[in-house]
Amino acid sequence: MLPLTSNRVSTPRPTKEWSLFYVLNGDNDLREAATLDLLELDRAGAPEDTHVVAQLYRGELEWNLRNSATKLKSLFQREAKPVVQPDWRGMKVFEVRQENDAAASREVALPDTFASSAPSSPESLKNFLSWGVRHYPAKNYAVVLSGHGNSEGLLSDSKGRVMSYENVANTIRSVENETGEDIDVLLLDACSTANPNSERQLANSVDYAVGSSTPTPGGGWSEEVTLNFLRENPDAIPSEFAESFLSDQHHRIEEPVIYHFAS
Amino acid sequence: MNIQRTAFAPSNSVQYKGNLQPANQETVEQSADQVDLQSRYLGDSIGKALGGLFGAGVGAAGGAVVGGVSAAALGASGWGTAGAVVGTLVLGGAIGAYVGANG
Repeated sequence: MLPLTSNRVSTPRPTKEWSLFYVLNGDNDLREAATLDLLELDRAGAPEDTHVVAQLYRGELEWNLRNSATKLKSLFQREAKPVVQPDWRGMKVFEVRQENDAAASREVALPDTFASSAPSSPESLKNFLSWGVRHYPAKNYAVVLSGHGNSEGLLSDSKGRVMSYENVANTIRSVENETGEDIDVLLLDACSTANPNSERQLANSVDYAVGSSTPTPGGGWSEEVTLNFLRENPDAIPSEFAESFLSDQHHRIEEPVIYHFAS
Repeated sequence: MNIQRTAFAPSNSVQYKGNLQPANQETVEQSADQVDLQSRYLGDSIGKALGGLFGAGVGAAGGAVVGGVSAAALGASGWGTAGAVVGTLVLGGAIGAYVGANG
């Protein structure tokens, strides 16, 4: 059974044109950067015909051999102040407020299967996406994986573990098989995610994947620009939405790359 | 292809626990400035080199201990110093190489 809360909402979510699922990985030194991404989503608001759901991890790097280089580097950076009050560590999922809703985005009560979630875990990603597709039905689906990345993978966590591109692809295929829905667009919002390895591994998992061939700053792709595109183009087809990430309005991204895998 | 649709118990419902509560605007802006200085780069060769350096340091310390024990065991035979040096180099190098490859 799902845990009961005082303000339970039992209305099934309506089918919309798009559902966007964000994994904002701040289980490392990007904790506040990931949280700022959520605040940017909240500030922009979900377009009327779009569901926007964000899974936010807030943690901090641990000392271990696998993590040593990143941890050492973080010692020389001034730590950003917590941008949410009260400050917390762990994982929460938020349904981003609709643009015409005056209230802030709301945290969603989750099934027990989410209890041991870790950003680098394929099982955790599968849990989130399968749950999301069932609760937020849409004609088109997009997934944004946000955090640290390199040519081998992304979503590195506090222990220095990384999700390989192979695991990303297998997880998405598994979600598609389980739910019967296609994930149309995958945005890899991390550094250096457009590379021969990611291209090879992600083929046959999504129709379109977008990444960057160069390092990107902590803010990554602009959530506001992304949501504004769907606000102005509610009927956008997957190719149009994927190509919108190449816009120079996403000014932090120097060399975006789009892969078209659809047959 | 036969695609199985698994039911999600108990219903297609969403429950809310509370609101997102941003800190004050000044804190948000200061943090945004700081985040602009960060990168989403996980690190490849540089990270591995740093990891290797860190591992070599740990390895050297471990090797010194092994070498020191060897020196004590070999006493004044003249081989103790050589044992310490070899122990340091071999163990330090092995751990450094391992961490460098996996860092």
